[in-house]
Order: sequence, then C-alpha cells, then structure tokens
Amino acid sequence: MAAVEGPLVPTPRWVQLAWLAPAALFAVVALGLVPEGQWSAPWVPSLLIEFALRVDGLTRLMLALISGVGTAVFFYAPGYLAGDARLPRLMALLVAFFLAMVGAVVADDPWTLLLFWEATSVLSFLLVGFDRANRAARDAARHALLITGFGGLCLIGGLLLVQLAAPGLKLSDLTHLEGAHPGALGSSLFHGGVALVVIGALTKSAQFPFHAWLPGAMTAPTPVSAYLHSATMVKLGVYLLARFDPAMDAVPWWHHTLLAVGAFTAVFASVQTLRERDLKRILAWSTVAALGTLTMLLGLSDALSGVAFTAFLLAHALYKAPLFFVAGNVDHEAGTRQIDHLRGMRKALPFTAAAAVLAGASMAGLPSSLGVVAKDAMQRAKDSVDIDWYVSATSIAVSVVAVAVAAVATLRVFFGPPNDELARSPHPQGLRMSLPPIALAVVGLLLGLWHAPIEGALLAAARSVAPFGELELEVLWPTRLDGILLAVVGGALLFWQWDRVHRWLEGFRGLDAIGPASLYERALAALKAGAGTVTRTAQHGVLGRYVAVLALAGAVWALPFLVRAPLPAAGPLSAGDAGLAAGCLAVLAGAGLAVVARDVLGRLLGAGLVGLGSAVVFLFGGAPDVAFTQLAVETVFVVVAATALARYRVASDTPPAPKWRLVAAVALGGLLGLASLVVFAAPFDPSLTNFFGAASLPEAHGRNVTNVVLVDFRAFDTLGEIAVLLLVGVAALPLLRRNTGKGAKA
Amino acid sequence: MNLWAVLPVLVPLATALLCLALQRRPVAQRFVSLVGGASFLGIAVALVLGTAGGAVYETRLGNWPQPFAIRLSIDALGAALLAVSGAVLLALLAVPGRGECATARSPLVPPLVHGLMAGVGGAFSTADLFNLYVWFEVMLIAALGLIALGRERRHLDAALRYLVLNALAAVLLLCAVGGLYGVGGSLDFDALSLGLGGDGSPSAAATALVALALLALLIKSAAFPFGAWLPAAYPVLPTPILALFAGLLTKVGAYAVLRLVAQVAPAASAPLLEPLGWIAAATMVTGVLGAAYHQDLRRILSFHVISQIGYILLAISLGTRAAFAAALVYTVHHILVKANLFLIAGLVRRSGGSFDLRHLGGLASRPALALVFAIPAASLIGLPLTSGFWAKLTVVKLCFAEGRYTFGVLALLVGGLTLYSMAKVWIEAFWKEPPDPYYPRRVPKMAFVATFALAALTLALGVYPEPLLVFAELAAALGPGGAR
Repeated sequence: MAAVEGPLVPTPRWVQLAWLAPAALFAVVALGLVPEGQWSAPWVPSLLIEFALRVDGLTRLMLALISGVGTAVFFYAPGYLAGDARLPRLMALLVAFFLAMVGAVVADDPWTLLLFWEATSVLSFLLVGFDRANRAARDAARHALLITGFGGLCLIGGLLLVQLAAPGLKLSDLTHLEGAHPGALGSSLFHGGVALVVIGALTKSAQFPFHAWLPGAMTAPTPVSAYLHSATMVKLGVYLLARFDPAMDAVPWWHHTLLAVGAFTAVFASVQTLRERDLKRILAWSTVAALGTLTMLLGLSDALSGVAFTAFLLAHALYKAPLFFVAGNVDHEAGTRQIDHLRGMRKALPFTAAAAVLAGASMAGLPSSLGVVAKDAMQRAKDSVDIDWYVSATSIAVSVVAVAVAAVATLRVFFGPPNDELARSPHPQGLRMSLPPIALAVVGLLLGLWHAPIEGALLAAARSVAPFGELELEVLWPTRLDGILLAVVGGALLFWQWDRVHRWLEGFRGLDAIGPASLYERALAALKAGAGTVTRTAQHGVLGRYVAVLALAGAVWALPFLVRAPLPAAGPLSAGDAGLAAGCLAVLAGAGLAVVARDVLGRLLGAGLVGLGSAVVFLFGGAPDVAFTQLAVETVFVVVAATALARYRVASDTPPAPKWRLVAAVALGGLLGLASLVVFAAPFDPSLTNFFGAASLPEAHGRNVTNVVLVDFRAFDTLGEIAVLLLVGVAALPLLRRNTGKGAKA
Repeated sequence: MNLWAVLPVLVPLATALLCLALQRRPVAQRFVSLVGGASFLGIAVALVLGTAGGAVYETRLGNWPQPFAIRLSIDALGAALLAVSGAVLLALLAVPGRGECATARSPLVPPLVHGLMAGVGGAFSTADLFNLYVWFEVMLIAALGLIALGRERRHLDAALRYLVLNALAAVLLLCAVGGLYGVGGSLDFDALSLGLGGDGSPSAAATALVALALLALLIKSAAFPFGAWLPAAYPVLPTPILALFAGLLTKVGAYAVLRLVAQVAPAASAPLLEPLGWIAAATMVTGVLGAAYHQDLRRILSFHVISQIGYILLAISLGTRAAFAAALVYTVHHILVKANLFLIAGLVRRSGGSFDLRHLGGLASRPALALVFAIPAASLIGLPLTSGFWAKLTVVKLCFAEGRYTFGVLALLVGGLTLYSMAKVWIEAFWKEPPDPYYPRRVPKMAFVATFALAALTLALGVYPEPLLVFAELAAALGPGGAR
C-alpha cells in the first residue's frame, strides 16, 4: 500500500504541521512544566463519577513517550503516504488517537480512564481497517475490535465491582488503598473486580490468550503500527496493571497470574517470532513478547522491578518504533517485507540502515544502549527476590530471541550483496521518512550512554509503580553483564541458524490449530452458527406455531401463580343455573365444532354458536342488555362473514393442525378459565357499581346506567373506542379500493 | 379539570382528523401533520419542565369523584416518555419518506400515524387500567392499518400475523383487567393499588391476575418467547414508519409493565420479579443472536429492538426505585436511538440501493451518512459519551449491587454481541467495496436534519447525563409510599 498510483494529491498544510502538536506537548513535559497533582470536576454526581485527572511520575513518563514517539510518527506519516488522497484521514485519526492516549494516562477517575480507553479501541479499529478495500485489513480490524471490545466490557464490569467494594475509588487511591477505602482489600467483590480489570488489561496489551489480534493488526499502515501497536496503545494495558500493582502487591494470586501470563506470553510470542518471514509480523510478535516481559515484571514484588518496568517501557518504545519505521521504509522501497528477499538494502537506504543498526543494538541490549539499562535492572530485580525458576528461564529465552530478531532486522536486511531482483520505488525517501527512525534510535542510544537527564523521571515513574521507600540512583548503572553476554551469544547463534530454526518451527502446524487465533475464528464461526440455529428455530414463520408457542409459554408463566389462588366453593344450585349450564353447553359445542369442522362455513357456524351460548350465559347471569347486544352482534357477524366467504370462495380444505397444538389450545383455555374462577372466588367490592347506580339519575340525568357509564362516567373510554372505529375505517379504505382479490386472505 | 393532561390525546386525535380531511391536498396535509407533531413535542416538553419541578398534571374526566372517574395523571415518568415520543414523531415526519415503497406516499399515512400517537399519548397519560387497554387497542388498529397499507401479499401476511398475535395479547389483557377489577374493586391505579393489597400482603389471586396482565404486556413488548411476531411484521414497513413502531410500540408495553410492577401492584408482583428477570435475560440474548445472524439491516435492527427490551425488563425486574429509574433512562435512550437507526437505515437504502448487507458497500465515502450512522450505533453498543453507555452502566451496576451477577454479566455480554452486530454492519455496508458501481449515491442534505438532531440528543445525554439521571430518580417514585 506504500506506492501510490495515479496523480499525486498535494498534502494540506495542517497535515504537514501536525507533528508540532505532540512536539509542543513533549517540550512541555520535558521541561518539567507539567506539575504533579490532581484535578477534578463533577461529571455525574448521582453515580459518584467525576471527570478527574492526575499527573505523577508514571503519567509523565507515559506523556513523554506518547508525545515523543507521536512527534516522530506525525512527522513520518506525510512522507509515507505522500500524495495519497487518504493522508488527511490518516492524520485526523492519528491526532484523535494522540488525544485519547493523553487522556487515558492523565485520567484519575476510572470512568474517565474508561472513556479514553474505549476511544483508543475504536480508533485502533478505524486505523487497522484504514485500507478498507482490503479484506484482510477489514477482518483484522474486526478481530482487534472484538477482542479489545470484550476487554472493555470486562473492564466496565471490573470497575463496577471494584467501586461497589470501594465507592468512588480513584486510581490515585490505589497507592494507599487501606487508608482511602478501609476493608476494600478484604472484600471478594474487590478481588473479582480486579480480576476482570486484569482481563481487560490483558486484551489491550495483547497477552495470551488475547494476543492474536496484534500480529493481524499489522495490515495497518506503518505509522499506525509504530505508534499504536508497539509504542503506546498496547502499553495501556500494562499501564493499568501498573496502576493496580501498588494495591495488589500483597495479594498472591496477583503475582502468580501476572508472572504466569507474562512469562507464557513472552515465550509463546518468541517462538512465533521465529516462525514468521514478514518483517512487520516479526516485529509484532516481538512486541507481544516485550509486553509479556512487562507484565511479568509487574508480577515481581520488589522496588527494583518498578525501575526495570519503567526503563524497559521507555527502551522498548525507543527501539521498536524506529524498527517499525525501518520496516516501513524497506517495504516502501522494495515493495516487500519478506525477509527471504531482503538483503543489502544499505546502499539504497543508508539512513534507514543506520537507524536499524542503532535501534537493533538497543533491542539486543548491547552495552551503552538504553536497552542494556533496562535489561540490567530486570536482572537485578530478579536477583533480589526469590522467584520461580521459570521466570528466569523465560527472560533468558526471550532475550536470546530479541537479540536474534535485532540481528535479522539489521544485519540480514541491510548487509550482504543487494538483491537485484527487487523492484525499486521511483519515489526517493526524503527527510520525512529518514529522520524519525534515526532520531528515535539516537535518543535511545544517547540515553543509554548518559542517562542523567532521565534518571529522575524514571525513578519518579518507578515510585508510582512500586512505592516502597527510597530507591538508589545508582541502580541505573549496569552492574551485571553475565546475563547480557549470555543473551548476545545465544542470539548470535540463533541468528546464524535462523533459517534452519525457522523451517523446523514452521513444521509445528499444531501451534496454529490450537492457538487462540484459531480459537477466535472458531468462536466466531460458532457464534454465527448458533445465532442462525436459535433464530431459525424461533423465527419459523408459521403463524399457528407462533400462537401455540405463545399459549404454551403463557401457561407455563401464569399457571404456577393461578393454581396457588383459592377457587370458589360450590354452592347450592338454583333455577337460573340450568340456563347458565345450557349456555355453557352451547359454548362448548360451538368450540368443538369450530375445531372439528373441516370447511370454513362449519367453523363460522361453530364460532357463531359460541357467541349464542355466551348470550345465553349473559341472559341468566343478570345482564339482559348485554345479552341482546351480543346476540345482535353475533347474528350480523355470521351473516356478513358467510356472505363474504361465499363471494370469495376461500379454499375450504386446510390441512389439519398437528395434535400437539391441542395441548396449546387447552392450556390457553385452561389459563383463562382458571383466571375467571379465581376472580369469582375473590370477594367483590361493589362500591363502583353502587356509585354508578346511585349517581346515574340525580347527577348524570340518565335512567339506563349502562348508557350513562358509556357516555358519561367512562366517556373517555368511548372516545378511544370511537377512535378505534375511525382508524378501522381508515385502515380498511385501501383494502376496499380496487380490490383485485389479492387481499382476500386478510 | 387540568387541560394539560388531556392534550397528549386531543392534539394527535385532532391532527389525525384534519389530516384525514385533507387527504387530497398533500401540501396542506403535510403542513398540518408537521404542526401537529411539533405541538405534541412542545406540549410534552412543557410537561417535562413542569413535572421536573414536582408538578403532576391530573384531571378527573367528567369531574366525577375519585375513584369513580377516569383519571388522567401525567407525572414525570409519563412526561418523559411523551417527550421522547414527540421527538421521534417530529423526526420521522421531517424525514422525506419517498422512494422505499408505495406505503410511504399514501395520504392515509398521516391520519394513521397521528391516530397511533393518540394511543401513545393516552397510554402515557392515563391512570386507569381499562382506559390503558383502550389506548392499546387504538395503537393496535392504527399499527395494523399502517402495515396493511402496502396492500401487497407480504404486507397482508405481516398484518395478519400482527393482528392475530396482538389480538391474543389484547384478549389476555382485557381478561386480566377485568379480573384485577374483580379482585381489587377498582380500575383507578391508586385505588386499585390499595385494593390489591398495596404495599402489604397481597392475596394469591391478586398475584395470579397480575401475572396474567404481565403476560399480555410481555407479548406487547415482544419479550422472549412472545416476541416472535415482531421481526416477522416489521421489515415490510417503510423505514420512517418502522422508526415509529420500533421506537414506540414495544416501549409502551414495557412502560405498562413498569407502571403495573412499580405503582399498581408492587407487593402482588413481588413473586413475579424473579421469573421476569429470567425472561428479560432470555429476551436480551435471543434478540441479539438474531441480530448477529441476519444480513438485512431492517431485520438486524428489529432484533435489536427485542434485545434492548430485555434490558428494560431486566431493570424493572430488580424491583427497586433505582432500578425503575434505570428502566426509564434505558427506555428514553432506546426510543431515541432505535427510531433514529431505522430512519438512518432508510438513508442507507437511498444511498446504497439496498437494505441487504450483501448488496451494500462503500458507504464510508459518504462521510455525513457514516457519521450519522456511527453515533446512534455507538450508543446502541453503549460506548462512552453516548446515552447508551449510561443506560447500560446503570442497569449492570444495579444488577451487581443487587447481587444478580449472572444478569449483570449477561447484560455485558449482550453488549459485546451488539458490538459484533454493529461492526458487521459497518464493515459490510461502509467499508467493503460496493458490489454495484452506481452506488453509493448522494443523499440530499435535508434528509439528514432529523437524524442528526436525534443523534445530537443521544450525544448530549451521553456527555452530560446528570439531568436525565436526576429526573429519572424523581420519576421512579411511583409506589404508594413513593419508594421502596
């Protein structure tokens, strides 16, 4: 996607100058103009949510990282996509992302954090899918969104639980949790909440088993990979873990989880690194490994681990971002990222080659780079606490692979005889593309040689992670070289045998089959299939079955409550009861006829008989006026319906309904029958009837109480019913007009 | 006699009659229809402002003493729902409804729409159980008329389904209303509440009849497994009318559930809340699964209607005042967002030529359409800074606070599946290359006015939800003693 076809589009001025925004923030942070402190404004008081911000050592480090790498990325992007009409969109999304990241690391209220956290997820989705015509990019974007979105849900649930245990908890409270929220740590709600927060953080930082989205996200343009998917956004997860670390430090499951997940992720990703041939995907897997290392460091309970964490956080951003730029430049120039084809690129890209060497040295942890500072701090952190053997083994293995990857990205790609078969881009790479990798790599190297300027900042950040008393400043000087030597030698061996190891590891197809990437695919397929099954089962489209399901489910819902209500006691029979019984018999006979009859006219007569029986019931039940109305309505209905049926010759023979629907019909009838029995059993309060009877003549001036009820006491109901009649007329109008017979069925 | 309480019925009824009379003069009819919609919204907003100050607009029709008269009583709950209904009504009247099918152009649409609004207005105003049933009937018939208006076979099939299942619900509701009158001795909400045992110990008969009434209302609100009629009936409608149906009809059912559970029969419905919670959970899950499965935009959105109803019922089933407030917040959010999404589906159809994701593509090259879709879609998912975030957050929070962790986790997961479904729409309709090079087409700017207005509302409630939350808290004081 690097080379652009067709006419070049001029780059708007704001896109060219966008890098000034992060540069300005970087200057402000570097000059120490951002004071430490807390600031808050009421946002949603009824939910105890504030818009709260806070700046401390770790925030400053993250701000410097976001703005520093951001400056390089914003400077680089207009060169990388020069002349592409989509460049302004890319820059707009990147600027929005920059702001969201800044918000996320200065947030103090967890919901303020969540707001920016979700914003980074959405922007990552839009940026991974930037090349939207490309199907792979769309799928990768969906993968990233679903995994980080799932993480966001876990985070929401976790924060809710945490705040149930500690109402109104701020992130800054986590350094002194016992003082701010006494007893919170003893509550299982708090631990459950933190566990969910951990899952959310692990998805964001691409930790096992949620890591698979990150290598896929490499379909994004290089500036996006360098910025979001190595230097900043994926660090947000470990950043959040670092925020919870002071509070959870004394909790065993916290250590064990972070150590185990981090170590496993680091090893797993290192193995995957060796199985890749695409330069960007190699870098992506090594990023996952680095994030695993960071997670593991948080699992160590020691002040030194805090120093190691912050130093590695910084060092990784300063070497991985340039390496991504390098990969982008190589891709831009040669049109491929396959390391099989890439060699001797130093002639074509001298500056990029220099940047690769410098960044590679830092990644390998060679002496005098910032990388070695980080590695040394890690080494000593592990020495100072009693740790499981696998943690040491992991870190050595990961270091060895890191050295080999650094060598592949520098020596293999840039040295040796050039590959003449490779195409060369017609566009020369200007300052925009050469300067950012060099600049970041040089900064990384300089800080390794002379880290006085950042000592204070790193220690302040470390104190936010592990606030245990005073730390010694000398801690930053490398003291142990044996581990580093071991890594370099091992890495050199691995680099020497790279192709053989690669072929050997590539054979392990099982790794792909059980890996979470396929787990995601399978879950997605299962979701589609399951949704299909459920939906097709519920949405069969057969009206009779809808009614039957409704009747059965309704009976299941209401019967348990109906059977608990008392039923009326049997009383002595009177003469009127014989009439009632006759009416009931007529109703039953009509209903039976309606069910049994095979032709429509028979069913209509059955329904008419039901109405007739009801009229008899009303007559003997003390409501002769209702009985006469019912009789009139029923007669008219049967006559009109029969005439209509005769005219339209509706097909008489419909297939008999399946037997089980009888159960549904009986259930519904039983339900309503039981309900009326229950009502009869209850003592009736006659005050309404009495009032209507008494007030009808003197106040409403009407002798027929029923009429007065209709036109006065409850005239508003009558108004509604008139509206119903009116609307029926309106609804029927189009059906009556020019009827072609299509509408006969309704 | 307080005139304000009658206006939400009289204004749409009068508008419907005028529109009917102006059938052959489309310009005048459209003008009257818009004025009627605007008046409805204006009245409702005035009612919200009044009730926010603690007023209740009450009138006993015919001036008969309580509880013998039909009482209209617009409190904060009713006023809030009237106001969002008015906003949706005005928005859909403002969207030019050309193009999709013959129904949209029929001169009978405005009378039926306003007739339906009379039912909606009556249902949100009345404090009388039988009168509530009458307004349900008005809505049913108007809705049926709108569905059948298309006159094609598919419209009549859908109308038949809608009629049979809703008529069954109406019969059940009528039986339950009669039964509750028999057991409680009154139809007036407050008097009936006392008759049913108030806050104290209700009879088993009261509980049984409340269960019957809830059954009818659950069918009306399309809860699982009673909601199968909804996706079958909705997609034959043109999108502006679909917006009205999706926004309002099922929500009136949910509103009646809330009234019944919170105000009329708080004690009698207590044993029903647990099963109601499970029905709500099943509704959420099956609804969103249907949305995940389908490819037709109208069907996807119809299934989301069901899923979102689940959230509202879930909140009601928690049975506390805070939960009732959450249910109101969710309903307000959902009406605004769902109606808007259907209106936007109409714009998608105009621009992309289809409702089917398989035939859509490339809509991202229309930035205004992409933006106006993205906002309510984000709100439906529940992303921060949209009304959906606060609506979902409060429901999940209350589930956790009540110790109903399963419900809370399910509510979160359904949010995740909603994300999946909306991502599917976005990727397929907006990102993918259009299968047909003639599309996407330009959509006139005027078509966006109403949808952007509704989107702005959901954003405004998302950025600053406090007034809505405070108002809902006030409106949730429904029970005889105000709160439980």
